[in-house]
Amino acid sequence: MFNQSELDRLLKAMRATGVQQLALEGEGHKLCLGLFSEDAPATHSDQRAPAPSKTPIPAKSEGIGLFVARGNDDGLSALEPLAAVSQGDVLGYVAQDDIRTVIVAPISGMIIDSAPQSGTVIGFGDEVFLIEGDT
Amino acid sequence: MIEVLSIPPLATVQDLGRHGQWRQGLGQAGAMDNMSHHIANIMLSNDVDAATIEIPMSPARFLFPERQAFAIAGATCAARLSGRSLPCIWSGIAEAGEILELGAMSEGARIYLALPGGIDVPLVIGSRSTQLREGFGGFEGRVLKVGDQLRAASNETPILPRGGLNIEPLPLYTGEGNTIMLRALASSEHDAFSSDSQNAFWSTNYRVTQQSNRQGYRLEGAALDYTATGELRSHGIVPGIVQVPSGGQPIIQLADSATMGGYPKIAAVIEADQWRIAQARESDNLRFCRIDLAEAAQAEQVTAAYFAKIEAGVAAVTAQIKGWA
Repeated sequence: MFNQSELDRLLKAMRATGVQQLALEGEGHKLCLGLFSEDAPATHSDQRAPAPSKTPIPAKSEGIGLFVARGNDDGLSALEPLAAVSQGDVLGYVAQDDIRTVIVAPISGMIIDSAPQSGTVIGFGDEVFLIEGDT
Repeated sequence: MIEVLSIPPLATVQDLGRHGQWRQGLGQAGAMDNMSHHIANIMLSNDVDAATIEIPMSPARFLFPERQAFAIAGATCAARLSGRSLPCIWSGIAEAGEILELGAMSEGARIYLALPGGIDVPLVIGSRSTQLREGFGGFEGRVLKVGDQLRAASNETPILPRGGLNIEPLPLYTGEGNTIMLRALASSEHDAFSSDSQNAFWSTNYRVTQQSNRQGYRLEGAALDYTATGELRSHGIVPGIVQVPSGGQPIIQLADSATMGGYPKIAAVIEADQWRIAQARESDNLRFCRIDLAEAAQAEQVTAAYFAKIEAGVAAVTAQIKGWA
């Protein structure tokens, strides 16, 4: 029904919105997710979904400003969804006028979030990307 | 410190030039693209006149034997630090043993590399620029070669975000069909060119030829017909002057221009746009746009305001990082 990346995104959204129970049905499968406290591990009963094995690591902003995507004018290629990245790779920028703080990948792995829209307001310490590490 | 592992010819140390020696017959030298030179220095909170390395060809490789802040600006060149791709404008920290690679240039023609406090070379006649023709200034008065080790003038590491800083680049090609627009003033002999030539000069493209270097760029386009008779006396020339030799094809004098010349001058590219010439590649099209002195003065103010703005922006980011630390 869902792959691990999608499950992780659902859990992240539940934590962010305070939802503690989520049940979904479709295509002959049923999925229940539950959060008992902010830090409790998620539970689910989808028989086909593997147990979480990797904790996504966030790439955080070191600045305050507007998000600028990589690949517009910086000489780098644009970042595709679910792109594989290496530790230290440039993921995007947080711009205050002409000055941009670079957001880099904290680990090597795969980006499991879509990039924010250019112009999205980003704060210091905000999690801008989530990266699932290589195993 | 930075060590040159490989470098093509003609990379030199430059600052903003050696001014005030014109009457001695000594040209100004200095960074060809003073916009990128400024940006590289500002990103490290350096004085804007601090010396940088001007790299007019790639690929080039540098080793950082010790932890070192640095900045690059200018041409898009697939820069990589120990394999990680860097934006074309970037300042950050290299760890000891890391290697900076500058790859093929895909836009622009010169890269500037800055270290904190500038490249530590002696001040000679008021400047740290390499005077290539005369063989002094810069790093031992010559182009850089493999094995050269260049030190930063400051041992302090500037405060930078862990991922580094980037600055939104100014567009190089601002005219139709990837043309580089150059604002210029009419020069002394402008009116001695035929009216057809004047029209062609201001309304058609001129292509950068292979015969282009720090002294000047030879262009190819509509031939310009100088109608006055007799020869001109030699007269002072400066970077930006567009001369027209007997063949009718213009030459733009640049940072290493001679101080005197005898060819008629049709125009002078304003200082605020000379960085665009420095980043023009062979076969790029240039288009001259006529302005007057007041507009040239205004362009100078706009450039100064831009430098002040990015300097203040970098200072603000630095202050934020200090506050959050």
